[in-house]
Amino acid sequence: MRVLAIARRELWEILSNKKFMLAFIVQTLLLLALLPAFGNLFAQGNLALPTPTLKGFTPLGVVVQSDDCSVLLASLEQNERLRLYSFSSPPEEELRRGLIAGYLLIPPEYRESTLEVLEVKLFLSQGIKSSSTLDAVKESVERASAELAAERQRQLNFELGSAITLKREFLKPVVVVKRGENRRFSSFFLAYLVPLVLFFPIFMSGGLVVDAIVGEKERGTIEALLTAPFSRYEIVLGKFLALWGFVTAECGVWIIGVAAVGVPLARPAEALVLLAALNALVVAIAILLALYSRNLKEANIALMLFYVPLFVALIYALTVEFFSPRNFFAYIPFNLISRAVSGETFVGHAFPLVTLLLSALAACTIAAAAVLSYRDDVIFGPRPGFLKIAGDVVEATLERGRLAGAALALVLSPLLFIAATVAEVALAALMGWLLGLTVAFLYTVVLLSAVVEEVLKLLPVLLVLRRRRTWVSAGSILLVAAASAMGFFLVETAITGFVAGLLFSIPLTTLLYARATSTLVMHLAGGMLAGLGVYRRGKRGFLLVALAIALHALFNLIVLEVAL
Amino acid sequence: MMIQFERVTKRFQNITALSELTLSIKKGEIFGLVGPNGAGKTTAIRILCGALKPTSGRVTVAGMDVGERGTEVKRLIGYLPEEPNLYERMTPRQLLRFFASLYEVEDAEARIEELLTLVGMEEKVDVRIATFSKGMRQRISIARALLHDPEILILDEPTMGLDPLTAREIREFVASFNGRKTVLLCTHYMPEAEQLCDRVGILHRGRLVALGSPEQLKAELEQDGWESPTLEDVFLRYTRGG
Repeated sequence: MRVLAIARRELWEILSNKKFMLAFIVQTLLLLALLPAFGNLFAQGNLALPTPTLKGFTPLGVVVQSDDCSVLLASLEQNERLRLYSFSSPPEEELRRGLIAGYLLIPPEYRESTLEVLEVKLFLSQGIKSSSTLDAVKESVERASAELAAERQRQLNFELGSAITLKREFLKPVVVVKRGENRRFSSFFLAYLVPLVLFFPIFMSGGLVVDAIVGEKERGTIEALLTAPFSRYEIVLGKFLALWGFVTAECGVWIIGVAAVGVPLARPAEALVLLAALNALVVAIAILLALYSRNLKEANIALMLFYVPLFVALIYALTVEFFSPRNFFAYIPFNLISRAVSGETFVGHAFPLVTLLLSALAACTIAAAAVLSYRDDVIFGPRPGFLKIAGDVVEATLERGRLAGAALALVLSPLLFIAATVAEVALAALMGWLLGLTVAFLYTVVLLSAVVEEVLKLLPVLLVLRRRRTWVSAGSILLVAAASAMGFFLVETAITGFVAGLLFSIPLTTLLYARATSTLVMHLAGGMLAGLGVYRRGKRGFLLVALAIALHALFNLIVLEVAL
Repeated sequence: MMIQFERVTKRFQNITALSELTLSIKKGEIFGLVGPNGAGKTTAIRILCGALKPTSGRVTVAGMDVGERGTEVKRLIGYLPEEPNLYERMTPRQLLRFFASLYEVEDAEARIEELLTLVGMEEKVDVRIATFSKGMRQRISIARALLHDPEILILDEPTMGLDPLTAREIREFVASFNGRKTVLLCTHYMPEAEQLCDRVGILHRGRLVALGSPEQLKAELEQDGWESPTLEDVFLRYTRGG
């Protein structure tokens, strides 16, 4: 209830901000006035941009109900822009799910041996692929049509002699009937410009977030809130709910406005769900940045540094998706919104997956902001540095016991892996410069990488041992060391798997099996030995660390020998 | 004891704002916490209100640890910050409604009317706070602090920057709580502390350097050879070392 009270007040604050509301109304009216004009500008046949080539990306269903259609089928099969899938009945479900871009129905009355005008029907989904699909099908049909016309002319000439001329229709015996909406707007307009317009509220929300968070600090009104009977997370959550709700409502108003001026938004509800999820993340990040900022100026600079790369990423992702669609880009939130707007189908389970992922990231970010709000130095100053905050988080985590220590080791492993990679590349470059590209160079690099990896994997253990903690024992150190080794192995496997799959097409299961039975054992054994060594200290401890490094180096050498 | 500070220390990075503060305030007492700027008064009351966490030590209010039962403690406290910073776009009525919802005040509308009449702002209930003078804002702040009828009232420099008439009215207002509410008054205006407080604690550089009733503190000075000392003399002695 208190969260809602704060959210209501925040919403009231926004709505009572006359300048902001006036700007919003003017922007909305301008948008509604200008959008149809832009739409016409980019309409097909006028200044239309070329529809992207989707070679290899246009799966077409073919429903053959006639047993006399070999010429058309051959022509379709010869078309490199189409990939054909046969169906016995209209594949409406497959079309709806986006498995095919459309389907061609060849009805029973279609018989190429007759002299009738033949008709096939093409059913298309509404989207940016539809025009290229139509083009490709038209091309095949016209080729078949020309072939049939020539054959009919040859037969007629043979049967009736040259006195009889063909009817005009005979020259084009196959007619494609396209089902679907006649679209006034080009795919560029729908897939590119309209989504960009719908992102505007997200970028405009920055000022609101800054005012809601830093404004409270600067005006000193936060003090009264902090002494009221509720927790700080409730303040952060209440403000988040109000800001997120407002920005999402803005997006909703714009969607309704865009639809009202006649732009055919294919799936507005899905677009709004995605915008809401994306808004949640952007608002949460802006709250985090604003909370950490000392004043309005600092917060605005931080937001600018966040928004500019976001905007560049948005433009880049939309451009790549539009002109050269790839599977990876189909999972980028901006592009999913573009697909929902333009009617392009989502790839696989991209819609629920990305919505969930954005929501989860937003929840984590707002949780981080709530945790940050409990720091007195963040609220009242002097503001702590990033390293101080990171150090405090590590300390607070490690205070919670061995399992928290193991979890921290897992979380840190991507950072440790990056550090190890950077160090190994630097050392390899240095050795290459010193030794040249010789066998000695290879062996040295392999040995040094063992040292680097074993030392870096030890970092979580060293963090645990930095202070006297009640839960520290040989067993708990082994657990943390094992978690660190496991995390390192998982990151390494993920990256190796990605590269191997990309370059050598090695099946993931083969790779996983190979690594789990060799590399994992080496990492675990090495990590735990080294961890125990650091825990025991002294000569024996040093020997254990040396043994771990030797084991790792031996493994690397075996791998190198096999590779060579 | 209504309020108890037990060896409370607060550090901000390398700065020690409050050092080992130990202090008890009785129920119904008007206690003055005085000290020069930067002495640690605001830090002490922020810790008491739950807005700051102590680096070490603990504070209890009515037997409850502020760190452990912060929400319950906050319900007992009405806090008037040094600056009457209020949401400017709101009217007094809207502001008090908002805080009434946070404190879950029963029959909020009647309470708001009662308080606005009490602080003499009944004619300005629907005027935006942005148009108010500092004195008017202070009156609204007092109404906000009293909204949930707290047992403890913490007033941080309540008369600073106000015209003499408004300052006097506020002092009379505070004096009217004597025996009814526990009041912690932070000020560096000594005549105010002398006039209003049952006991006074002098904070200097984060440490409590003197504690007692104004009469006791003055008597100590008299014993040291001062003639008819005022509380200001006491203050100067402890904060200047003279």
